[in-house]
Amino acid sequence: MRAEQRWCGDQHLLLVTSESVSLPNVLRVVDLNRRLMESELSPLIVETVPTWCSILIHYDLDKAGPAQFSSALVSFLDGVVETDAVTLKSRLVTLPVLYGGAAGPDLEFVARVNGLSTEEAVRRISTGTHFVGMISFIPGQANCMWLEPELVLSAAKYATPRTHTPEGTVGLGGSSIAIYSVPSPGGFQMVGRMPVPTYCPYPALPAFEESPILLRAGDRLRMRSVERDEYDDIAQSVREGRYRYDIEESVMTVSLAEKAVGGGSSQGS
Amino acid sequence: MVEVLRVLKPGLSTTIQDLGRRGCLELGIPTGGAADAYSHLLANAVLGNEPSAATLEMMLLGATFEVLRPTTIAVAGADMLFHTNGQEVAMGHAAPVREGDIITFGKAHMGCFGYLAVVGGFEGTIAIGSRSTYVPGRLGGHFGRTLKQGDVLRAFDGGDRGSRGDAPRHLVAWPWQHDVIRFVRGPQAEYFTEAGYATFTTQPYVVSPRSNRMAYRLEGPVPDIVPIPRTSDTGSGPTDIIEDGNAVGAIQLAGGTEPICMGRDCPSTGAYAKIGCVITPDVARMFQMQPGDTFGFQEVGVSEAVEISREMSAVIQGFGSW
Repeated sequence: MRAEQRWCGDQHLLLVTSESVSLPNVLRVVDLNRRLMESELSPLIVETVPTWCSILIHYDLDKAGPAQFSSALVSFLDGVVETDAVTLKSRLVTLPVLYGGAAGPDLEFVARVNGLSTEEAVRRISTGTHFVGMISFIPGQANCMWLEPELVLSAAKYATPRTHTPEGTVGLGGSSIAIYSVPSPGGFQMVGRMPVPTYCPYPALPAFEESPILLRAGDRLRMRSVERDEYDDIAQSVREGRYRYDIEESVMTVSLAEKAVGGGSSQGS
Repeated sequence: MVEVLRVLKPGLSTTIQDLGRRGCLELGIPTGGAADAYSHLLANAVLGNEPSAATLEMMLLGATFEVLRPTTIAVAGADMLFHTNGQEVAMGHAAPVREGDIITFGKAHMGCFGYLAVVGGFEGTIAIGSRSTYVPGRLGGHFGRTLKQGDVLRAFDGGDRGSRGDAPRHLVAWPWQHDVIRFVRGPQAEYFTEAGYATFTTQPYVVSPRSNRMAYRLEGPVPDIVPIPRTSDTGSGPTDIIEDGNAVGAIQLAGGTEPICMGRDCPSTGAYAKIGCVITPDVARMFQMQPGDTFGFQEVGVSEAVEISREMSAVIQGFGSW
């Protein structure tokens, strides 16, 4: 396959794979990053940052010079045959969300600009499947795309970003959902809030024993709607260390040619 | 593990740092580690410590400590008027201290980040392979936060490794030379005209007071921007791009107006065009500047940047044999 190489200083190289944000394009990135880290170039790579249309590669200057690494990368890309479909490990993670009210003060705005009732806006978000395209910006922030085109909502971001967004806030910006994993500034419209963490620096819950980050690029999210009572009950079980996440291991196959989503529930590793 | 220091005054922002974490940028967790890795390495080398031994990093205004047990310390990076019991001590010097001694640092008059190393290295919690403190993520170091009055710091019982003698003055002072900061063009060079690059490489830039471990904001003339058509994916601003990965040292032009140089705690991704990336050795110098310091950018090619980086690595590896 073809990709453009751009230098970032002396130890980083940006591999640009496409010029627009789409599900096939981000899947190409996820798939290419996996192949790269499983390839013979892997020992030359310190780490990568896969995003919507590119992969930033930190290569190890002690092991390869820039020209050597660049040509090795070209050879690797030459050997990557574009397939019609991508199959990847994709866990199905269901998280509880309290929509609207103080937890989601921008829900009414989002419903209005989409010409919908707040109930219908919540239905579109909570019954949709959200593909995690990348984890970026702050620790564990999942940036997602709807897998069902008929459910997609859109809203402009804040003209002036707020200085504070509570942890667990579900935001909508453009046609993308983001989960605010830690308190942070933000510009996405706040539609709801989760009573469960997606970032936990100390393993207070079993889900964080291996990593402080719950979600990974390639995962699929469902954000089921809960009422206040259940939200409070779940928050209490999190505080007591009893909460268990609803995570289903599975694989997903996506056709790159037709931009259609298939599979999704076949059991895998 | 032994208790070595008690914090009497915490300074402005004092944290435990080492060389940072690897492999977690794709989870949104920054590399972290000493803002001036060079001075961190130098302080450790003076004591015969491993390069990755954790040091205390102090920003602009240093801390005051009481010594709880005899040990040896060394200081590098910003010159913060290092004293023990009121006596000035040279930087880059292996200084024995005794129980009850008072170690004081003041305001940095050269540099921004000072490093205090102890024989054996400070303890600190390891999070994702590093003791470095990442405050926004509450990770690593001393409970994932800056030090507070009364904190007691522990160190590995390093034993007496013997002093290597003082580090030569030119090695201590190297990070303070910041008249010229070298960078490699790109990765979004197409957003800037040649006249824009001429502006960027001939005009002075000043470090803004709104600078920290995450990023240094710069004040100075805006490089001329190419009016590239924007899409709904990039956003409508003059330097908006589709979000991509941030390298430490990358200089983005936020909102088409403000150059921002990414630091060790920078966000893993950014959505503004990057005019260039500061070469690795000069990242240390960049982050030793204080708000108000003036400097100029100089463009170098990738192969030249790599040569400079490798020369610097050789100097660092040679620390043990001066």
